[in-house]
Amino acid sequence: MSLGRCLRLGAAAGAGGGVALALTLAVLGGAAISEAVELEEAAGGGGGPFSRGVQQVAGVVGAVALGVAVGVVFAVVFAAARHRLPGRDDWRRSLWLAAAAFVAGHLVPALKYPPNPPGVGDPATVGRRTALYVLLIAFSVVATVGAARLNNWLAARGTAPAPRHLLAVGAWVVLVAVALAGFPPPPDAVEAPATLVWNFRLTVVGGWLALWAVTGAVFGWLSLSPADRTGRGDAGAAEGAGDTSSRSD
Amino acid sequence: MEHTPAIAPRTVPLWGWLVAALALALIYLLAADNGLVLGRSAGVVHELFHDARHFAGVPCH
Repeated sequence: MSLGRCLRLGAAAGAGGGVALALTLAVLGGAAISEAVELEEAAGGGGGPFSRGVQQVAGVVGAVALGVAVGVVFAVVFAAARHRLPGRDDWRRSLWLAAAAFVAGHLVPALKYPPNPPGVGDPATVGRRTALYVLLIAFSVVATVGAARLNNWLAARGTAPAPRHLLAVGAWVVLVAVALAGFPPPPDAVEAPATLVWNFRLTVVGGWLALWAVTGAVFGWLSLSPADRTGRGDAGAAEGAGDTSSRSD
Repeated sequence: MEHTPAIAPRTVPLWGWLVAALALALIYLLAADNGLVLGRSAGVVHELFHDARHFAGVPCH
């Protein structure tokens, strides 16, 4: 598949992921955000130039735009890493890459710097918090790529699957543990009600899970030829025997 | 992986990486910037995309 087509599929898959994020936001997270905003306003804070209604609509638009941008990055990485990704077809490769992106890009950084609802956080430290968060995402992504490369390097040297998986995953765990222990703790005290904060954090994890699941699934589905999707064509009969989609490269 | 048949590596051309960098910059501006790049208009972007930002779990306020 040409890179242009790959990018279009990525943008479409990411738009789907953005809709999934927005749906999670509307269905599961909206209450927590609104409750937090009310608390914030009751405490004399908040109250920006836009009404809640405008913010909610812009929140949906923003989530979809975010999804499209994420999908485009996903597509470029997929194109570059395709021959190194596990899985015998593009469906499996896409799901693997999306799962790795969820863990490295959201789950690991969120363990150290968990998301907070509106009203939590000192504006004076937001620059520092943003920088730490972005740095930890970068570190986590590099550690994940490094572990995957270690696995593939060992495979090329003929190391058996069990020891090389253990080595690669072990190296990843050590790197992530060192980062989680070594990065400075989040600077702000969280004074919002614990239940509200907990519910909010769970919904954010759910939102990213939904975004990556839909992005990975839609991209994988669109990457397959129609025959591969149903398994009814010649290609489907040959499943497991070879990569049928590489002929289009 | 052991079941993966060899497929030809491909080189992503420069423009592909530029598009990815542009998308990453958009993600940062939309979701994470608090004035470092956008300056004073960051507050407007922040307020407008307030809910999306919080839902993306980026540091806020």
